[in-house]
Amino acid sequence: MYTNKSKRLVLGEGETIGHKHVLECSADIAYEKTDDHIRLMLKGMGILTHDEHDRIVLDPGRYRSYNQVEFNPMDNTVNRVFD
Amino acid sequence: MKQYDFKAADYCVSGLRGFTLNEALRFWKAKFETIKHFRRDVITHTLLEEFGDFVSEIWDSIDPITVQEALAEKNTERRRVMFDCIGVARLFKELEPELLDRQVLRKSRTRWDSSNKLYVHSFEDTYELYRLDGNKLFEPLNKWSRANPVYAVRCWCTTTNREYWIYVPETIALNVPEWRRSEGKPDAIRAIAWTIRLDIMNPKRIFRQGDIIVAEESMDSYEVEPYHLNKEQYLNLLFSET
Repeated sequence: MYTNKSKRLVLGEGETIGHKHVLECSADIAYEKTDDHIRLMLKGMGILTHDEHDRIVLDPGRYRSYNQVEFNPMDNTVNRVFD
Repeated sequence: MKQYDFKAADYCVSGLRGFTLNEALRFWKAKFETIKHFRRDVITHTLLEEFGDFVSEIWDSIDPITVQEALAEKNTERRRVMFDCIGVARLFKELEPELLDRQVLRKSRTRWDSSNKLYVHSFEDTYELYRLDGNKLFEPLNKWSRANPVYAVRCWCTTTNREYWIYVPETIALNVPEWRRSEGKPDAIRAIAWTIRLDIMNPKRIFRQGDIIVAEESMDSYEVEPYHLNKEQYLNLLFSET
């Protein structure tokens, strides 16, 4: 189900600012990326950090990471919010 | 004395880096009423004097960014800077956005200190839902046609206090189909809830760090077609927001 492993995983990166949402865990993070989300499994405590935001601490478990979305009134599509 | 190549430099406007000289000049022209204001707030070091002189010489020929350009910008962070430069007062004067709903949520959310120790952070979060006249944003297809209105949630980052405008569909903003627009029941919280889209049912809880949404799966979670959160889910599932 999860084809990749890493102790550090970038969940999102600001295209303009370049700041990253970085998830780190002492144990390997098993994960799978698709176009819409990142599926991941934590076997230890995960810590999500970003230069401009407070940290988030995740307990061991299964998670999915997404981008916030918004409507595009020019072409009536739904796109991820990107910064 | 060394002459700087101003065109080759990277510029920072309203806390955001990565703008070209031309972009930065147009943003500053929108932001500052006069060259004096620009010099007072940007030329804050003697090393910048040469750049200040350069901008002073061309100031009158710079075209400020327009509200329409800001609204058409796809990158939300750049859009934020553009709105910041244009200023809320001018934005409202030019667009005359109609405030449909304003709600202030008193939130208590879990946060962690630098030792990863959990604490509860209480704060107020304000959401405003606006309707913008599409004819002020888009060129009409012909003189008989009218553009549809555009809906946007105005909100503030609870960490950086930066202001964002996020577009939402009309059916979400009003909760009625287009042909019953006059019967709409606008709800700013329903609108912001819509901006979170998941593809699992029964998430245990949701964490939000800026524009990144992390949903924790429960024992009952299973994959479904992507769906947007409704207001009730938004109010009940958000465990931590920073």
